[in-house]
Amino acid sequence: MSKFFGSDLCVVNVGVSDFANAINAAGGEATAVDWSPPGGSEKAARVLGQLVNHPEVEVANKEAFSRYLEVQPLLIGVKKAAKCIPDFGDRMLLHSGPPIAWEDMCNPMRGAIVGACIYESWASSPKEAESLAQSGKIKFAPCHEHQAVGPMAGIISPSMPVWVVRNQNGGNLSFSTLNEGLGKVLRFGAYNSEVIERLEWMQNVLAPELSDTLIRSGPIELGPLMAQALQMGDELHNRCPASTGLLLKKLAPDLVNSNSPSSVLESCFEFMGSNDHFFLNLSMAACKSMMDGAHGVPKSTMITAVARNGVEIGIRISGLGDEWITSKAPTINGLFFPGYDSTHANPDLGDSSITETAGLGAFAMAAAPAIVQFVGGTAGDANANSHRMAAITVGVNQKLTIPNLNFLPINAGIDIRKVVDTGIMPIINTGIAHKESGVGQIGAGISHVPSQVFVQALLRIGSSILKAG
Amino acid sequence: MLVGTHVVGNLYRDSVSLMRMSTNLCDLPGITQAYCLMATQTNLELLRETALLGESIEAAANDILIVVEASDQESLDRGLEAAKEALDAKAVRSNADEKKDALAPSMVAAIHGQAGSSNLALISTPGPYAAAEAFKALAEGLNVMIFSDNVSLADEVLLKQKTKNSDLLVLGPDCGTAIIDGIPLGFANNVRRGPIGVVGASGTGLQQVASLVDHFGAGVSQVIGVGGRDLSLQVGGITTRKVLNWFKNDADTQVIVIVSKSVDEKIGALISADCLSLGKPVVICLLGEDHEKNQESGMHVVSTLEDAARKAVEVAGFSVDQSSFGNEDFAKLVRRSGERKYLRGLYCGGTFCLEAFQLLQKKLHPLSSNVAYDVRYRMKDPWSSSGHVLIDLGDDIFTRGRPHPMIDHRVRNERLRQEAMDPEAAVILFDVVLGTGANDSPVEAMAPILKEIQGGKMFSDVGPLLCAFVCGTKNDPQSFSRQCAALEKLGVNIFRSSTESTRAAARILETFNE
Repeated sequence: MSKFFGSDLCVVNVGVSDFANAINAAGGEATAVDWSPPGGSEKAARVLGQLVNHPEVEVANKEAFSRYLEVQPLLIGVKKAAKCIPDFGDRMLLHSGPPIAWEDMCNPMRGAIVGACIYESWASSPKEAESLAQSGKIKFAPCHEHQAVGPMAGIISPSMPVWVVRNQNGGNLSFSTLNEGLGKVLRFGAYNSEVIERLEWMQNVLAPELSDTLIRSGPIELGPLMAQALQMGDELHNRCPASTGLLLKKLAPDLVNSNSPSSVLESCFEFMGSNDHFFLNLSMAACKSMMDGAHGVPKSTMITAVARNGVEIGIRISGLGDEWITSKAPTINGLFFPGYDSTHANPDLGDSSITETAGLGAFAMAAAPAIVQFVGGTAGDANANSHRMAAITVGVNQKLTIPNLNFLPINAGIDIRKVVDTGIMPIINTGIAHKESGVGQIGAGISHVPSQVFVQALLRIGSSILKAG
Repeated sequence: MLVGTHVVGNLYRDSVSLMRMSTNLCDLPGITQAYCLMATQTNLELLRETALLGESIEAAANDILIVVEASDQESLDRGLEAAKEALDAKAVRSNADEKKDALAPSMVAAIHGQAGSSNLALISTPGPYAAAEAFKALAEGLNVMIFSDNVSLADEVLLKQKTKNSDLLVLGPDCGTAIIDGIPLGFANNVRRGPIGVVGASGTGLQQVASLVDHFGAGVSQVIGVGGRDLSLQVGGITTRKVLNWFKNDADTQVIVIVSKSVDEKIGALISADCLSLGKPVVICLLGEDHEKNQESGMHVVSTLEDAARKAVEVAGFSVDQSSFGNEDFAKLVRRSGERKYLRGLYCGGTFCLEAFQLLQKKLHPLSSNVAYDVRYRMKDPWSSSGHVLIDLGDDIFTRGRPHPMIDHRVRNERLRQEAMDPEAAVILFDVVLGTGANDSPVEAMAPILKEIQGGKMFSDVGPLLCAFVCGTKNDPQSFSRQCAALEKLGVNIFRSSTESTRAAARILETFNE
């Protein structure tokens, strides 16, 4: 009470804002909180009341966050998926988002699976591929559960080449496919001969060249590259032209030293250079590396994965182990290419929200002024967005700063308690896929992780922490 | 349909701003389709698929191509013009909601923003959520004032138990009033600083005592609400006892006033013991306890709010300034008229209603109230008065879905009309509460109905006698003198306090039986 009566009254006002005004007018200091029922439910509010500033949760989050900060992702090679992804069985396909059965999958994902079956020669026609997929003879599993991430449908099959990223500090490995480019590609569910041929070219031509190049060059540090790209207008999810360019700069001298004919090298450069999203998959793998590093700290309420399979969105939390908390995948609030509108759109799809989970993408939107236009378009809006995301994260990452915000470090590590407490939902920048397989991207915009996911997650981790404690 | 195109050479805009432009163009009257794109091969093919583009167009990948389809030439021209302007547009107004940025997104964020200075969380959320916010605040090392009611007793016990071994205070739940270091919290008044410390259960009770202390020429050190159940057996008086202990050691407090509604016997004994150990005089106002307690040395027991204030001021060594205001000669106010014989008390402050009930219980019959503890005195229908009636308009049944009557006068205004039109109503008595949180100008809000009653057209005789008291100080924002003057102009007789007005009403009505 020595710090109360007789000290300057400094009030946090929760509720009727008039009370705060009266205090300020009388010479005291009051900050009003923009309050609404947390999680819209008394139950969630009560659990939250016990978890906020719970000493063990605070310690756990601090630990999880410092593990995230310590991750140093290194690109060490390109390898065949079956040769490096753990527990990758013969007849297995990895997909984006939380677990889902064939019969529940959205069309783009099914189309991609059909394409993968043909590519692997498991089936010689789309019809055969569908029966195979339906038969239960293929095992489907989330990329995330095998240390991998894939954009959009995110299908990884045994023969596909994948980037191999290693955390130099913790040693954990992460994997992602190579980006096929835009238009009619597998990840949007296309499976025509052009798609298959391109996948075969990537497997037989591009991947070996990249693999050899990386042996010659040695590992490439992704952290500094991404930091630099962030200061060149990339947000490393929807905008990757700078990072793609920087990657090519790094690879070029050793790629050029290949023994392959120059036409082969030309095709590789042409392929990578004409795709402004080429770096996306690597950005995802790097972010996966960081978040895997932070996963598995008991009692931590920090999110280590946000992923969508086009039907459901799922999150994973450091302190909740292998559990997925899921709900219906959100629709995207966006702008569309000519001829398309929201009636053609597939719900949110892909593992690329791993970038937001690590503090990039929409969380670093201010770095990419073009993307800021999705939230209004001005510097003020960019600032406000960063401010909002700051209110729901555990900390800041000083290695990744944004010039437009006076080199403010990015806010990272979404804390589910803070999400429920503030009512601010994490924002994701994302491409919009056509809901029919094979059409491709039809627009781009923002989506928010739905609030019920966080309420559920809070109650789940709440019951485990509060019961034990 | 007409289609028009325009090419802006060698201009780069990113895809998102171009898509936004397209969307905005489509909002213009008469425009059916609009596209703004970099004229890359891919985009040109996309446009051809929409059948808007003819085969050849003179545009290269670094040019911006605008294609607009409209229902008439005027709309088309307007659309193309707008597109060109948009490409030229310089500064754009910010969408950011300035006002919202001033609010903190959560308590934790607010505390962070106050950089270590936070020492109180004032919580007025809906009841079921208030306890959760309070737990958060305590965990962050803040004292808590819970304005909200509808917080469970179990939660109150848990919260207060949490503070047993620390310095932290939990004020409330249902704590409507506090004045800490002169700063009003919740519904409170601007009261002179001085040596009298006030602690107690009720909001308006504290407001009245503090305001009277000010009127009588003295001042307060701290005014601390503890909530209505603090002195129950389950809660055990945790907060009251902590506050008393603090007052004991506070150099600025010489006299202590405790205002209480109901006290568990066991807890009452603990409090008495505490009071005797304070080494400072204590005035205990036990509303609802009609007794003459044995005055132990240093403890003065009274049963009305005005007596509490008056006693405290005297004991503190001030001479009570009685010359301020109020009608003294009640007899002058008496006027018989028709069937009129009953009192109708319409209160915003529940404590005032309780105090009145205690004072009048033995004097007026039949007497009922909507909040009488004793079922025998409970009104059958709170919405309809018969006999002498004392109504707490702040009770749940009147406030469902509405702000408290101290803020929103509509329910009371309606009831005023209803009572005025009742040929049996002789005296209508009401409170006017000033200070923070209350209506900006309570009398103004009541003026229309008061004027109507003054006009006399509602009844065939002289009508009921209007009596009121103003609870507040001359430093309150609503201007105490202006409120009093306005009331008098509207034909209302003003009294010094809740206590005084009740005694006056009793005297007036007693004469009806003489």
